[in-house]
Amino acid sequence: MKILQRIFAFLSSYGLSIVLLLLMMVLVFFGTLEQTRLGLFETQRRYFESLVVVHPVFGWFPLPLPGGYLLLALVFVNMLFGAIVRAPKRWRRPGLLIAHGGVLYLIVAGFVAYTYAINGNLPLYEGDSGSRFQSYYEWEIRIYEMAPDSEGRVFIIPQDEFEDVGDTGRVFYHQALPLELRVARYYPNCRPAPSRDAWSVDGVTLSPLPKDSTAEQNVPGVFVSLHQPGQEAAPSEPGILWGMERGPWRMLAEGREYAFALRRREWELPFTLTLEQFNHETHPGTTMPSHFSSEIVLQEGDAKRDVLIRMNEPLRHRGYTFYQASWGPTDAQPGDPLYSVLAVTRNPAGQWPMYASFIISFGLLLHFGQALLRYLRQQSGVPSDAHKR
Amino acid sequence: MGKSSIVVLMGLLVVSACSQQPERQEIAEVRRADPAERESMPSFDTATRMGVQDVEGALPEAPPPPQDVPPAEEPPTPATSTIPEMPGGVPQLMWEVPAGWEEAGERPMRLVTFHPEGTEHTECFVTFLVGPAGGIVANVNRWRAQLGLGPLTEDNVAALPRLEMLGEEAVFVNIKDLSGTQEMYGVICPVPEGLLFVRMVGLVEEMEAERERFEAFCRSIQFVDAE
Repeated sequence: MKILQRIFAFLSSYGLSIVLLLLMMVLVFFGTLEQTRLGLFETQRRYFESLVVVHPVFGWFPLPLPGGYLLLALVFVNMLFGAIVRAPKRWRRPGLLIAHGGVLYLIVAGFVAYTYAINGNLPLYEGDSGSRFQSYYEWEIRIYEMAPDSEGRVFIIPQDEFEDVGDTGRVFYHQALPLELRVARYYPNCRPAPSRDAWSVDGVTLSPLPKDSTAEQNVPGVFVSLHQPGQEAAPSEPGILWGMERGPWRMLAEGREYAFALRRREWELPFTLTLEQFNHETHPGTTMPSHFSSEIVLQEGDAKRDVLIRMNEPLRHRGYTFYQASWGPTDAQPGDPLYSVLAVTRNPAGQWPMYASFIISFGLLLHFGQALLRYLRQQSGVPSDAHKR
Repeated sequence: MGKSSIVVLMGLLVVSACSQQPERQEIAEVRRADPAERESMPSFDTATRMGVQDVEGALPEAPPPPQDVPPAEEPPTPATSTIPEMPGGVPQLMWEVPAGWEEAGERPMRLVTFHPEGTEHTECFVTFLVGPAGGIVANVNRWRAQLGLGPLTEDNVAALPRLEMLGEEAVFVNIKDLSGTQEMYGVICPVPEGLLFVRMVGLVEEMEAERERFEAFCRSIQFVDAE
């Protein structure tokens, strides 16, 4: 029991709080510097979404640091034990308790967003409708049923299910498919090159490139092979999938045609958006946009409603948020068709930071309000709560 | 736990670590395909799909006509046209206008504009810029931005397919916008005096049928002096 008590005392201590806050400062400092070298996406992944990070101080000295994920988990435990469980419960002064509860809620919101949120974009020309949106940097392998009498399905293998395959690979199957797809040797950024090495297919292989600091610019590739169900050891048909290929890999299996492609990740929306009109104004005498907005019709089943999406005025519907992100073509002539790009986010905790801010503000207002009242009472000669007790 | 159990466990670990059997995973996500997306999928061999060789070289040869069938009518001879003068003292250009293409009126910055017959929103046009004109990579990325796509790196652009015209290896770009509505074919040909651009922009369903004519048009372009 003594050991448990010591662990509890350590995890709830002020000392740990201070060390964690200092480490967070150091991590934010180094992470900010590294953005110039690695780019925003990669820095966020390595420094703030990791358990441990090794930072090269002056470019060569390896300094191990706890990652943002680990630090925030420890801050959560420290605050839960120190400020909620161990703190004296003085119910006549609940402000600090409420404020700390709000901070914990904020950390939980961050965790939920990190785990479940998805982000992408939906470009629409005037008059066009869309019911799916596309990721900026995630990819997926698609297996299309191509036979005219097929159901026209697409079988999806998301990037997180094949990005860690080594040379041995991973076999993907589905009971409705007369084939199995083995996926091996994934490159997050690569380009095709003529080659006759062991991995080449028809004289072409994938040549890895260093990751670009702008994640959207990476073009991945992967080696695949087809075999009959349960016959992984038998000779199989090799192929290559690349993010910028000019067409899919089309193959026959059991007399039915299938197409395989590596494409940016897409998600279906449970409703349809139609861009009725895109409006933009420029600063006088310039081509710089001063204001732009999209007049949208949201259709869900038979129900339709008009929506206006503007900068800082997103559309929120069924857990999705649509922001006015950009538009184009930027060099469009009068009369040319325009398109509007909506940034799409699905985050179950999208509104939680706002609620957490309300809770924290309420707790702090309560706390400081009570302190002010105590002070005013002392000044007017009325005994404070403490003196009453 | 006895020593024998530890040995068995270690043995299992070693066996599993050395196993070359790939893991198996069931596909959990199935969607309905967009019919237009399926219909617009070309069938190429690996090298062509990857842009390592030109499309034309990879297309299957047309079957020979049957002996007892009268030969088909000769396709109309493409019209040849030239433009009166080029900017920057550059030699005049001439080309063969593909059958079914109609020349449109003059447009600013363009040497010539064509509208393929039977299309509503598709047009092909030629522009020429003296000097480096920002370079090939910047121009490819400007086109991509116009269709809402992110930029490519120099390495990506270097891997793009090539099309031979004016004795040069011109960069060939085929871009579709994210909604799959608009498509663009673009060729950037470096010439000693600057960059020559040939672009075709239009709806995806109209563009597919024009690709062969677009490439033939690009190949037909030559300097008048070269005649």
